[in-house]
Amino acid sequence: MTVLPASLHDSFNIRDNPTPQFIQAIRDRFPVEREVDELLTRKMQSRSGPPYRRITLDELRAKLTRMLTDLGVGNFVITEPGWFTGGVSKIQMGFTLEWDDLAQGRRKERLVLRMDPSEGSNTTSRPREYELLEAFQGIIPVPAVYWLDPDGRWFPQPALIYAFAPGVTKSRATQTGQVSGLGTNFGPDLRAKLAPQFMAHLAAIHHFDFSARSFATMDMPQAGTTQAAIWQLNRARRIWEEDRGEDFPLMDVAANWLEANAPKLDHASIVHGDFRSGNFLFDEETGRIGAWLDWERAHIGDRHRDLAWMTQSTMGHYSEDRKTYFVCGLIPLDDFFEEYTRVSGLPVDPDRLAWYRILNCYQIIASTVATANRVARLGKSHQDPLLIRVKGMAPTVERELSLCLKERL
Amino acid sequence: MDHSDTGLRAVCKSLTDVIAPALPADDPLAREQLGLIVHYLGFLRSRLDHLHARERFQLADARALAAKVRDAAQDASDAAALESAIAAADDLLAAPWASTRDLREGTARANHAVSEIVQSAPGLPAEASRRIALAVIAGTEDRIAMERAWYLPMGLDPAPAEVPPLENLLCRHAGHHETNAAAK
Repeated sequence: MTVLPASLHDSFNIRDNPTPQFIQAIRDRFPVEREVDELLTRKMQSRSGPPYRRITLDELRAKLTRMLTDLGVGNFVITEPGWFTGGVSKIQMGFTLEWDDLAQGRRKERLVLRMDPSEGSNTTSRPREYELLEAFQGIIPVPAVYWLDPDGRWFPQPALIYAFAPGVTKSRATQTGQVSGLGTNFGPDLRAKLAPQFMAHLAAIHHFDFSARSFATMDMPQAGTTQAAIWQLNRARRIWEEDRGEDFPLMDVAANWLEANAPKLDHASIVHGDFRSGNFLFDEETGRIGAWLDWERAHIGDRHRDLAWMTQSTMGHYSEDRKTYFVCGLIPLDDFFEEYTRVSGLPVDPDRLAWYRILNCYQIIASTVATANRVARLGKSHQDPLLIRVKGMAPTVERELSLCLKERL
Repeated sequence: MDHSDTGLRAVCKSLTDVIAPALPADDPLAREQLGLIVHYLGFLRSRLDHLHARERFQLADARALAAKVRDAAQDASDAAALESAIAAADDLLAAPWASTRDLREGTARANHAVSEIVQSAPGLPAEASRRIALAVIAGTEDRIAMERAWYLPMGLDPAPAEVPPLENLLCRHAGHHETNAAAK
């Protein structure tokens, strides 16, 4: 029999100050992509460091000045710095930059600096986000990307600078939508304009041909094997194990089932990872989508991961008569998969979809129950009051996880 | 008489009436966070009277889950930890003055014992493993229902109308410990 510590409840606090052995044991247990391994290892090694200290706009401007100087950006002037709100996991400052561009001459543009806090609700890669924004220029609407601080050389944490994209995430008239644009009700007119673009952009991402391109920050899973699924499962399990403050037997049941039923990859796609309402900006007058943001969860893998994510219950809403569920507030669920196959030419496999739906529930619970609490408890982010609120999402997702597992067991 | 509710009400009023107007107009992050803070304190006020009842519910619920898994896990090699966690939970639930800390510890022990059984379940015959998994799912329903009701004021539940009142859910295991004590 295992010998229990004096306080089992308190024993989870080793995660506040993890030993090298604790970190290594989890790494050994859950192999993941190299970039993800480095990020999560760095997270754990920094865990016992100081809490997040609010950085001022002046401090950020000074660091930006240093970076642009070191990179040889000519005759630049930074004006109008200001905070962006609404996000959960990243610190964002808007600013106007005027500079001598070698290709285009003197230019002036509104830009966004996007930086990690000391530890956020998602530990993700700014270099990966940079690579993907660059790759999808001209394929679907994404902001132009300019500069990268991959390892916090100039800023306190890794950071990215890209073009400010005008637009809104939801109609100014609507009061619906929760944290980060989840559950937004666009209304019938906007829905009709946005839905076809939403579907076409999704198909373009899943069809993106990267055979002639190499990504430095993403590993390529082997088609015909379970590697893609296992990498994503291990990432979620590793996060749960690194951050949790309790035992939750339902999560153990889910992990067992996911491990035993991991699907083989039929077709390697770029997976956006967070393709949903709240992560695209559109023009309210024309209904035209101007930019897809938040590529931080992207990876090469199974398109069913995206499909399961955007059809998850908290991402959309029901019509007033409760008869129709709109995926991301845009497309009736009954039509969604057929429409996706029509637009993309890619089949939807119900078994793979079910597996990724269970994985997504697992991942959301890990994030809202384990990570959000750990980060806020240690005061590590700029949005701790928002992180404690997302626990409110967890019971709904736990219920969905239970129902999905019951169907499959 | 405890004045925590009055204290929280006063803090919320001050944050809204005095602090909010004093925030700089060019600091939207501070304004956003103040709104979240006031909302959270309001949530906490609405749950203040139920905090200890929640700890008792969680222990009773973890005990019920452990009992379900014990019945389903007859093939498991280490059911002794489960038995011990169930007995400890019964003792705590029979003690009206058990502290919040002790209740929490009892809950952690019961859940840990169940988790250990589930983690070793893949080594069991498929049907035994399936029985354990289904017992956990069935034994987690009350916890999820209570938590949905607990966090309802956060406004993140997509179907709030189907959530029963918190008070009814917190009472769900009431009386079970007397039955268990009598059975012993």
